[in-house]
Amino acid sequence: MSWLDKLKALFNIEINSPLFSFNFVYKSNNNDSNKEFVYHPDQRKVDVLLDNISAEKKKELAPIIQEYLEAGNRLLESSTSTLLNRLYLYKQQGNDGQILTFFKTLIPEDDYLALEASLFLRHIFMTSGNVKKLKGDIRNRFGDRGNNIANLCTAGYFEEFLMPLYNSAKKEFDSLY
Amino acid sequence: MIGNLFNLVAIPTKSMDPELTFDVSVKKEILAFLNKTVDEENMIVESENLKQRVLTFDGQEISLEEFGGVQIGSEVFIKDNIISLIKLTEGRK
Repeated sequence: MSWLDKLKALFNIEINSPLFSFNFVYKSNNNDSNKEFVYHPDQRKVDVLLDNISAEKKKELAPIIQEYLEAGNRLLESSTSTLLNRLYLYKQQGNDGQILTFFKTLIPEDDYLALEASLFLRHIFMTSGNVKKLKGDIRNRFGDRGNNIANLCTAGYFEEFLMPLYNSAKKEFDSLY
Repeated sequence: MIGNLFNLVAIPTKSMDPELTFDVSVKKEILAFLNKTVDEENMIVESENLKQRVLTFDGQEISLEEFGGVQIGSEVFIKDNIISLIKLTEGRK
């Protein structure tokens, strides 16, 4: 019996349609006061309401989660999962690959990592995403320098100014950077 | 719209099973399932050894606030910031 079958059996979940996720939450309203789970067919998601689950069932749930992890899966906070999905999709599209390849050996490792994060931030910004948390992450990790890289990157400075500068005047690039 | 589309893109895993996720409000319960808890500084530690802090995949201690998830047998913790996630996708430390 797989971890998924065990999870469904534990809560008597009889859903045969393919599911994208099981999300562990606390109940959000009193309508769910007696339910152990809520099915969202539009999102193909099941919310498991931890505050409605007995201590005995939680003991049974722990090894199922371990089995899920040991199968090579990740257990992620839901917003982290969404961000990671966006990151994988962004990387698959490869739109900024040329910029990253160009600067890979030209700038310090931390600057390169800040640039990678900043290009992703710009991508999210351009696709109408909220970038407040991403800007905070870059600032927290790389300080003012990271913040500057993010601002310059968002303005297109790396590909529109620094790349042509390096190609035409390497010494000026080195002294400026 | 875009957010919904992104939600339909599966993170690469070893199977096509649904993924398990959790809300930020239940982090402590999730840690309990993994036999972990937090110490007096709110750093994640082993439940059976409160002096043993757990590490992320790149060797950093991690607080409850930073906790974004876990992979492979509950021993590899993931921070919920973009720098950690970039490293994770590239297998970098």
